[in-house]
Amino acid sequence: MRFRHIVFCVCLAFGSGAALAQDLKITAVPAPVLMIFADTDANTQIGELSAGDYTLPLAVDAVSPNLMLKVNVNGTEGWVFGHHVKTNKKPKLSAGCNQQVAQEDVGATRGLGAGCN
Amino acid sequence: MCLAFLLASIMAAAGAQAERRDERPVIRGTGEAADLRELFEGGVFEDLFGSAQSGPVLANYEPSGFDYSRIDAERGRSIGIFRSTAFGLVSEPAINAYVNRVLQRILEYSPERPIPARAYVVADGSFGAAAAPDGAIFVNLGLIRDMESEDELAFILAHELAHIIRRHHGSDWYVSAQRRALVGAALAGDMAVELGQMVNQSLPGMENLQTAILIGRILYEVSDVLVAPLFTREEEEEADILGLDLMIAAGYNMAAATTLLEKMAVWEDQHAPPQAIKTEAEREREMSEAFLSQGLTGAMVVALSAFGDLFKAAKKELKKEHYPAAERIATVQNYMLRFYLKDVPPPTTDLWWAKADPAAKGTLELFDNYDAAKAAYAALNDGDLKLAETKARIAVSGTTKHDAYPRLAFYSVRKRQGRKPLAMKNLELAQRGSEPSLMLYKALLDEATAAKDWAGAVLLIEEARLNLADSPFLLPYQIQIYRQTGRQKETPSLLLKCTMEYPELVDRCKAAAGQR
Repeated sequence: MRFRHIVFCVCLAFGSGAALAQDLKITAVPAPVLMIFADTDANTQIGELSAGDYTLPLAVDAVSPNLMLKVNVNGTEGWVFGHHVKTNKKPKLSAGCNQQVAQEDVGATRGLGAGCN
Repeated sequence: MCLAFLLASIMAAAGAQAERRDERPVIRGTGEAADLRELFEGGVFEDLFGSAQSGPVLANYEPSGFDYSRIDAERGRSIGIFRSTAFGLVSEPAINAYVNRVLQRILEYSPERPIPARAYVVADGSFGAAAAPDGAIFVNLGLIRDMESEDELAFILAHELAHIIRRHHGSDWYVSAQRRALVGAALAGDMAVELGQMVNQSLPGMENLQTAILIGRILYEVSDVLVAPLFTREEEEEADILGLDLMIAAGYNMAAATTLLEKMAVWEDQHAPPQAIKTEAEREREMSEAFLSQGLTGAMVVALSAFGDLFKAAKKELKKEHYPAAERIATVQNYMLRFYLKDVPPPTTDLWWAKADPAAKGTLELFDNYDAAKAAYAALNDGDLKLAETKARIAVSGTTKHDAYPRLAFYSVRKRQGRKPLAMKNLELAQRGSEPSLMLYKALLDEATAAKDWAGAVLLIEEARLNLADSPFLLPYQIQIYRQTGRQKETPSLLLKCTMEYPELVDRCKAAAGQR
């Protein structure tokens, strides 16, 4: 484990508007290393972890407005880029095929992407 | 002879596609000309791309010299086609203006310009979007409703814009030509009588007519799978990556690309057409069953083996046809890690209607009313007429009072209640809307033909054809109405069109023509 900066612990900047991340977990890290920052603007890098330096899943404590994720790795708290990791987030969709009256025989709705026939 | 023609048609179409691809603008890396796959190296990209890394695609894009300025000349056709997907386009002005503001922001960073792109919201609750070669981008209301940020909308628009920039639509035209050739050649024989009357000459290969029809239908089965209206996997990759670059250049948060694709993955899990998620083994089994279901004899199977190369090509196409969102996420994420590893993304932008802006009232009402319409349809299907009426009343209030989807819900409720005049009033109000749609015309035409109001039906069918880009769904109505209004001479050609281009409508067209 290589922490470049030690002095950060309790004085982490919780980005204003950071949202709670209930049950959100980091499940994979496709990035070559997991960079940890003291702030959500990624001005101060406080750690750079290799795969063996952390155990997955990692609980996410908060999500910043720019989609950085607050984690605690081995007692060290900081922010990681959201696009560097994969999470267990399973979006719930409201989208569905257009409801129509049954027995319509022509022009059944069809999704532009796929799925509605 | 017919078989040779079919095979020749397929090969010719394939050749045309290859030529078409060669004409596309090439994204060039530094140094020697390279396609997209040659811009990356290492890791996950080894399989997808080549070796020479030179930075984000957008930064290395070399304009093609193609003149995009007049691509919108055919815009009316694509709008007509999307009006004919079912309930047409959403007319609410605020949401349309908003989506186009986001598109314009992205267009400022387009490497090709000017591109007369414009976005339209489709009254479709499913999770989808599409781009037309004329620069029109169609975004489903269902997709918009599930977005959590403007950044996700930006990714979708940028992705579709990338399809336009890269002129990915060649394969669509190829597909149309292929389908026409296959089905036309194989099934024209089925129309021998009508054809014979029209051209007043015998057709070649009549002695093998049944065999030709049979094999033609089998090939159609295959071609129907091949012609799924999707871009190829390679084209989707290009659109994802160029779209990602565009949204980042426009100042949006790149992580929204993956959050949006994660939603798409969920949608695919829930709704993907079976053929899209089948394994190759499953597809092979289904194809075999399709052949058997056509009553193939052993001799015919042997004959079909002559088409071995075609079927191999078909399977290859099948494999690349669908590009699962889960794989797209991995590609996009690896691209971000490759070229934007230390870029600090900006805060995501709230969707306009989430900002409590008073001007968003109409858009929020649109959402609520479409939900109410959906609930009305559901209640109607459940037989709860009281609830259906309550929901339908809400659905047609305010900004959606002339929209086809909610109006047709109320029309259906009134019909079920046996209150015909009130039902018709709903159709009349829907007709006053600015966005015509297939389902509205269908209801109007059903009413007119049932009432034998042929004078009214003639006006309707011509108006519908004009507004719906001559939708093939109108063919049976057109045949029926023309027969009733002294235009019988025009029906054989319509019936022929039905058979050649839209065999799935043949039975209905024949019924409309008085044939069974």
